[in-house]
Amino acid sequence: MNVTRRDFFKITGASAAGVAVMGLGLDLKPFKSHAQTLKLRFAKETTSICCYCAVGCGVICSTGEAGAGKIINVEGDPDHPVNEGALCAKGAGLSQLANNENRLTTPMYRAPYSSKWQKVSWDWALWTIGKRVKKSRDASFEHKNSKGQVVNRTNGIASVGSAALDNEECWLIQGLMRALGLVYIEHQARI
Amino acid sequence: MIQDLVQHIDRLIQQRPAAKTALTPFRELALLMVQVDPQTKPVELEKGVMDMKQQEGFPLFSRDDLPLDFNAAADLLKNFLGHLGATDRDDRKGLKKALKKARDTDGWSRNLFKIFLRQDEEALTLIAGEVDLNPKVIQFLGQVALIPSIYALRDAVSTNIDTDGWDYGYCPVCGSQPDMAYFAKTGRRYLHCELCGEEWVFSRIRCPFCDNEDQETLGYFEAEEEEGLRVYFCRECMRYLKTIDKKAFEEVAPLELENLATIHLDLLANENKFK
Repeated sequence: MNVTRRDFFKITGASAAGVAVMGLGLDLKPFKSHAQTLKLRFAKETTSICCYCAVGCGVICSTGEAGAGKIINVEGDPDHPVNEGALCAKGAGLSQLANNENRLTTPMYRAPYSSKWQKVSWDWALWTIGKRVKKSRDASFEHKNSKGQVVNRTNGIASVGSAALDNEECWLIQGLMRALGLVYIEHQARI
Repeated sequence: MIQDLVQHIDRLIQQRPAAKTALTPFRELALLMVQVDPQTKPVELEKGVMDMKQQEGFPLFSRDDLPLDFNAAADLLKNFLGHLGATDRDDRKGLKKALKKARDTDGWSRNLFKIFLRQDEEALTLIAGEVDLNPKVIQFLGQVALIPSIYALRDAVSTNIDTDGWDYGYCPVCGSQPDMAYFAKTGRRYLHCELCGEEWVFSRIRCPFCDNEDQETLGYFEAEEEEGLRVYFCRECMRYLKTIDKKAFEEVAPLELENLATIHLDLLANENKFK
């Protein structure tokens, strides 16, 4: 059996700290007193990918064990081959994505010609988007081009995908946009 | 590093008064330590053998086979025992007994070092009992007396080792486990060998003691008042590792000293059942 040094200390009835304390003839009380004044927080680290751009930098998210897994720190993952621990300014502020009093929690709507934003429900927002997409698509839909060729397209709507979309989400969006007849389909990674 | 030890201690005490309690008595030993000039025998290392050892995950030496200057370590041990025996410690009689043994009994110190290196707790308890000392005292003094010799050996051989290519939780030089770690400015984690002080890079989210990589059972705790000091733990093997983040400090002392300066974190880790 390979007895480790820490096991060794344990067998001899001491922790690593205990050995130093005994060896140096220290009084343990000041250390105990100091330790008692400290407010501890326990956390776990989870690796993830930055959600912002197409680079896909690795990050380590620390979530507190107290407070229902709330994010307490986000840093670049030094072992990730893409960024080796580095993050851009936006990525470095990732924790604000979760902990931010200015973060929007409902869809916001600004009516045509209005200068004010108003909170709306998800149901209303999704229904309204669908309604207007249909209206715009129907109004701009071309069955045939000027040469009489069948094109079934709309030039009245464009789609600009976000880098936060993964491959499978992009595939679904692409299918939906093509079904609607969109031609102008882009993704942040290409812009 | 040994030569700068006292300056590091003085700076650390000034910057972090909480460290004073442990570092002030250690300073006395450090003053004796810097006077030692160990004679490391030239170590012939065949490159092919070294490369093979590294590829296969074998350290360069085993703990009980280190080519050290035991005479220099024995002299230093006598100096430690003489110095501490003259203080008002409760165990000063035992320290004086141990000094007599070290002076009069041929090979006593060397035997002590060998016992320490091969981690033979039974023999250590026995040798400590002979001189009425707590085994922990003998353990500590044996270890510290070996530091100059071990570090001289490490400096002589570590330039030949590609520590970045070493992906194990034990030291590439002597095979010992880490006693502390630090985050470099890049965020990479470096482990620090408990015996020879060698440093090598290791994955951030992985237990160096049991190789556990499950993010659910790994974690850390930190004190809100002490930014840059974390205690990483593994709930699989219940081991812990104190870690200092170099980004949080202007200057970090050698980890041997940081280890002593953070004994309160050991107490907190033990309180939380980590060992």
